[in-house]
Amino acid sequence: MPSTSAPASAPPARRLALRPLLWVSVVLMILWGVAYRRLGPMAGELFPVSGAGLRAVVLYLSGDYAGAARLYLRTGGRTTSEYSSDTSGALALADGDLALAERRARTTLALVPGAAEPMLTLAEIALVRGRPDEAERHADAARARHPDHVDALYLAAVAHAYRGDDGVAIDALNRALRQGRSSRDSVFFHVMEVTGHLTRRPPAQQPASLLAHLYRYLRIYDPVNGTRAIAHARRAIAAGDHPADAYLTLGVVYDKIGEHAQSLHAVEQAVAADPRHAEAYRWIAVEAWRRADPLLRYRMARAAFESAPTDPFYLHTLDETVLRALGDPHTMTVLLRRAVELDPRNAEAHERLAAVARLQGDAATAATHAHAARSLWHTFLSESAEPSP
Amino acid sequence: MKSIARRVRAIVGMRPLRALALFELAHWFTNVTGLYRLPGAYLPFAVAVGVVLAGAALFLLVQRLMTARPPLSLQPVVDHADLLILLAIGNLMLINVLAPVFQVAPLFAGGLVLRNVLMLLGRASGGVLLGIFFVLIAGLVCALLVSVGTWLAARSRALSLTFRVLDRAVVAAILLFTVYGMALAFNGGLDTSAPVEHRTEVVRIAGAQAPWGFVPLSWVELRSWRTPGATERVLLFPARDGLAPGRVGPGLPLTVRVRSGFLNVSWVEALAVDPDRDLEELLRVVPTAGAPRQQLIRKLLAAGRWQEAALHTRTFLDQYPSALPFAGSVIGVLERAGQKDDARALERHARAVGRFPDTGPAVGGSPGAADPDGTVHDMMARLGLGAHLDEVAARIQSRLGNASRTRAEARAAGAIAVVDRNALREAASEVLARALARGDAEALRWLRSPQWQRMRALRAQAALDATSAREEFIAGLPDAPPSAARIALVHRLDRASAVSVLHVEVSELVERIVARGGARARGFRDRGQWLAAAESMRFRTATWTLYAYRDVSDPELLEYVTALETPAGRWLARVYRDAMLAALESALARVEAAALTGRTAS
Repeated sequence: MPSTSAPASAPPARRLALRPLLWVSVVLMILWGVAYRRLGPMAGELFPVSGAGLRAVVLYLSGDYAGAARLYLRTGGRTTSEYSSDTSGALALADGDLALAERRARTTLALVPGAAEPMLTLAEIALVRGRPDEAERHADAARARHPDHVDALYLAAVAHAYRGDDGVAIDALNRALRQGRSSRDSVFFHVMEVTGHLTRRPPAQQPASLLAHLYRYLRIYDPVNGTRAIAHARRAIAAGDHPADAYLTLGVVYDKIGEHAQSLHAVEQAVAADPRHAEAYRWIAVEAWRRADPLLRYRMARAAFESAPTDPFYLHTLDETVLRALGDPHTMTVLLRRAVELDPRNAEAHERLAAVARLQGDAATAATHAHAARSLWHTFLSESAEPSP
Repeated sequence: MKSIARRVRAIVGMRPLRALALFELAHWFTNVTGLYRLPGAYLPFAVAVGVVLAGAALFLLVQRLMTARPPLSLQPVVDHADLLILLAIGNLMLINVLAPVFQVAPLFAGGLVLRNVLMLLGRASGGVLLGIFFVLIAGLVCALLVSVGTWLAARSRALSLTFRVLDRAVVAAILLFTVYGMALAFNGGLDTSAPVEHRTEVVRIAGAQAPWGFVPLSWVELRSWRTPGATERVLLFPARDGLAPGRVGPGLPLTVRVRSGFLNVSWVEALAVDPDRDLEELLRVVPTAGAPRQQLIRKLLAAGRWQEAALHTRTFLDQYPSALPFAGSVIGVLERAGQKDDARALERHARAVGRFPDTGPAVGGSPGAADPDGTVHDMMARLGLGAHLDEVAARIQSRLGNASRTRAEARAAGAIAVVDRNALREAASEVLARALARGDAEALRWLRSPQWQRMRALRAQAALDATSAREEFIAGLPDAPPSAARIALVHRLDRASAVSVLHVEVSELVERIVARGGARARGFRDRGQWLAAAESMRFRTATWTLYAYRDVSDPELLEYVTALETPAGRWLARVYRDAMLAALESALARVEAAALTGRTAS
C-alpha cells in the first residue's frame, strides 16, 4: 500500500531529479523542441529524400543559400518520362538531364513558336549553366507574351538580379508575388541561389530592396526568411532604395506574421512614398478587410483599380469588394465601363460586365458583352498564333 | 463494507491524489472564469491567477509524488525511472519521425484494432510531441526544484517553515479560487436575463504568453459602457469572439454583449466587430451599395426609427427594383410595429417600381431547319462537323451525368435534357443553311474534290488508330524532328483553319455549359489561362497534323494548305467555326433558361 505521508528515510523518487539520465532527457527534449520550432514550419520542398538533399538542408540551415540551391537543383530522381508528358522538358531538367531537356524544349518551340513553358525551360538551363544574359533573353521573351506568367516573372527577376537590373527584377517579383508560389519547384531554388549570390557581396554593396523582395518570396517556404526580409526592407527604406516597394514588402511580411497594425502602417507608408502604387493600395484593402472596415476597403480597392485601370488583376479585387461585399452592381458597372473605355480590348472587363448585367436581370446587355468578350478572346488567340517578328 | 470504507479512506488520504484534485479544481475554475468573464480593471486577470494556481498545484503534485512511497510492485519502475523516461522520449521521437508512414498505413492494415492504433500513431504530429515534452520538461523542472528545496529545508529550519507555510497558502488560495469560480458558475450558468449589446471601441490591446507560444492570453481595454470616461478590460478569446489579437487595434468599433447575471454581477458573453460601423459614411461614398443599405435598414428598424427605415427602403427599391422580398419583410415589420401609414406608403412604392428580373433571352433555334434536298446534311458530313458535334455532346452529357450523381441533381438532369446531339446539330444546321443560301460555289466544289476526301479519310483513319501509335510517333519527335518546311506547313494549316483557336473556344463553352448545368460557379479565365490553353492546343494540333498526314508528301500537303488559304478555304473554315460555336451558344442559352425556369418555379 502506498504511504500517506513522507517516510523518515527519503524514498528513491526524491533523488530522481538528481539522476544524470533525467537531465540528458531534458536536454534532448529541449533540443528536439528547438529543432521542431526551426524545421517544423519549413516547406516540404526543402527536405528532398536523398544524400544530396540532406547536404542541401545542412547548407541551407547554415545560411549558404547559393551552395544549398545548387545541391537542391541536383536532387531530382531519375524518371523515365516520355516526351508527350514532358513537352516543355521541365521533367528532364528536374532529372538533371540538361541535353534531353533542351532537345525537348526546342522541339516543342519549333511546333509551337513562342510557347512559354519550353522557353522557360531554356531559361532555367541557361541559369544552371551560369549564363544569366541568355536566361534573361528567354524569360523576357516568355514574359512579353505572357505578362502574368508566374514562373516567367520569377525567372526574369532572377536573371535581371544577376545582371544588376534591380528595378526590373523588383517589378517582376512584385508582379509574380501577387500570385504567390511559382508552379515549378526549381524556380524556388533559382531564387534561393541568386539570394545567396547577392548576400555574398560586402553589406554596403548588397541591393537591400531587391534582397527584401527575394527573402519575401523565400518566406513562403520558410518563415525565418520573413525576419531577413524585414531587416533588408528597413535598410532599403533608410537608403532610399525603392522605398515604396520596400514598405510594401515590410507590410506583406508583417501581415503574414500576424502583425496587422504594423502591416497597415507600412503599406500606408508605401502609398505615401508612391501614390500610384496599385499593389500597395490593394494591400491596404486586404488589411481593411481583416479589420472588418468596409469603407476603407472600398476606397483602397477603388484606388488600386484607378492606379492601374488596364491591369485585369485589379478587376478581381473590385469584384470581391464592390460586387460581393457591398452588393453594388451599379458602381461595378461604372468602373468596368471605365476599364473598357481605357482599353477597348479588355475582354475580362466585358466578361464581368456580362456577369453583372445577368445578375441585374438585363439579358440583352449581358448577351452583348458576352459576345464582345468572345470576339476579343478570339482575336487575341488568333493574334497570339502569328509568328513572332 | 468496512473494507471498502477503509480502502476509500486510504485513497482519499493519498497525498498525490489530493494534489491532483487541487490541480483539477484550479484548472476547471480557470475555464469557468474565462467562460463567464467579468469586465473591469483587474477582474479579467483572475484567469491568469487560475493559471498560476494550476501551475502551483502541478508543483505540489510533483512534490507529493516524490515524497510518496510507491507500491512495492512499482518499486523497480521508480528505481529505473530515469532510464524509462529517456527510452519513452526516444520512442516518442521515433514515432514522430514515422508518423507520415503511420498516416497511410491504416489504408493497408487489416483488423479494426490495428487500424485504430496506426491512426492514433499517425496523429503523433510534431505539435502533439511538443506539448508532451513541454509538460514533461515542466514536471522535471518541478522535480529539480523540489529536490533542491528538500535539500535546503533539511539544512535550515526557517526555510523548512517557509516551505510549509507556502504549501498551505497554495492550498488555501486554490480553495478560495474555487469558491470564486463557483460563484461565477452560478452567476453565469443560472443567468436567464436577456443579453444587451453595447457599442464601444478598443482603446488598447495587450497580451502575454508562456515560452514557445503556450497559454497565450490577450485582453482588450474598451471605452466603458457603464462609466463615461473610464475603460474596461475584457479577456479576448480569438476563436470564440472571431477576433484575432493581431487584427484588433485602437479605435476598432466593437459590440459587447453583456448579461446581468444570476447574482447581479454583469458578465461579458461575446465581443464582435460592430457590423454597423460607418454605415452612413459608407452610403454617402457609395450610395448604390446594396448590402450596407440593407444593414442600415435593419439597424433603423431595430432602433424603432420607422420613418428613416421606410425612407431607406424606398431608396433601395429605386436602386434595386427586384428587391421586393426584402421590401416585403420591411413592410411586415412596420405593420407589426403599428406603423400602418409608413407600411402602406412603402407598399404603394414597391408596387410602382417593383418588377421581377427579366427571364432571359428567348432561346433555342426553330425546330428542324429546312433541308429539303439534304445539302445541309451533306455539308455537315463532308466537313466532319456532325461527328465533332456528336463528340462534344457526348462530352457534355458525360460531365453533366457526373454532376447529377454528385450534387445539383435536378438541375443537371434538366440540363442533360436540353443539350443533346440533335439539339446541337439543329442549331448548327441553321448556320449551314444560311451559309449555303449565299454559298461559295468554289468552296462547295472543293468540298467534293478528291483532295478534300483524301485528307478527310486520313484524318478519320488517324482518329481510329490506337492511342499508343500516336504517342509513339510523338515520343520520337525530339530525336527525329520534322523538317523546317514541314513544320512551316503545319503552322500555315493551323492558321488557315484556325482549328486550335476553335478548340479552345469550344472547350471554354463546354466548361460554361457544364458549370451552369451543374449549378457551379465558374470563375473568369484570365489572359494567361487563355494563352496557356491555346499553346497546349497548338501543340496537340501540330502533333496531330504531323501524325495524320505523315504519309502525305510536302508538295501534296502544300497543295492542300494553299487551297485552305484561298478565300474558298477560309470561307469553309469560317462556316465550320460559326456553326460549331452557334450550336454551343444556343445550348448554353438553353441551359441558362432551364436553370432560370427552375429557380423561378422553386
